[in-house]
Amino acid sequence: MNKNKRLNTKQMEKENWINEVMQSTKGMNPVEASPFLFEKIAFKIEQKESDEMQETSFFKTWALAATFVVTINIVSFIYTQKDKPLQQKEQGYAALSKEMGLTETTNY
Amino acid sequence: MNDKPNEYNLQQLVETYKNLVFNTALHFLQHREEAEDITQDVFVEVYQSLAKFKEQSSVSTWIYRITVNKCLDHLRAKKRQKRFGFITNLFHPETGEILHEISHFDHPGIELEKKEKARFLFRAIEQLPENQKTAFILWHIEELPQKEIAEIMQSSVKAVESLLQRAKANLRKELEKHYPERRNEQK
Repeated sequence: MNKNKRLNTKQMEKENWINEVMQSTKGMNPVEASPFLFEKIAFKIEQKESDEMQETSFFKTWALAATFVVTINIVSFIYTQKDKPLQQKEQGYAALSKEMGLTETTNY
Repeated sequence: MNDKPNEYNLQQLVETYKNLVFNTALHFLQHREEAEDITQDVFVEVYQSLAKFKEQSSVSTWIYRITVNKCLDHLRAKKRQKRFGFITNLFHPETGEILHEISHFDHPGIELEKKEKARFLFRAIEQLPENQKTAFILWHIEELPQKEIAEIMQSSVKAVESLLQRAKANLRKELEKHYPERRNEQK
């Protein structure tokens, strides 16, 4: 009987302690933020904007360089394509004349 | 408030909401310097997304939402870092002693006689899952109505109610574990 009573008291003590802990933040005062907060924020915004600008100019330079390289490639491709039919024709004639046993002559 | 974000209305916003943001961050992060950093980041984001703010919720709800998200992101990053450096952090790099990282957060706004108990509470809050932690801090410490908490968390009042019930039950379980420590401290 006494043992039960002691256990109940211990349990109650524990419950009380938990309740007190749960209520321990009641009535607390808010903490003041730094008085220079706005200045720090303004500095961070400025820094972020200049970083973003640098990043953008870096990408712009790369995009410009890449466009230049691609353009040169396209132009050179077009030129090689232009010469191709003539080259192919000459190669075709040479193969045909070889097959038919003809000798290449040039008439002036 | 003006339509376009500029320094003038940002300064007004900072003046009005700086303590709300700083204190909320302090309750989540339990670290003064980190809370200050997050407060700055929150206002940088406020500045950047001010033009997108559609006034579907109040300014304070919107700022609370940004603050909560920033804090949770920060805690997640910290957890990842801890996991990554778990082995190296087990021992002190110079002395080789075993390190134990136990939160001993002393909230500067709490009365002296309640400080020790509040320390236990903050330690237990740290163990809660993200959603329960958010609901509990906003309701119990920030003392916001459940409707506003639901708006901040973008969920329903019923969901918030259930989160709070689970949070309280989990906190009680966690505090039961710490009860013997309290008795040892008193001896």
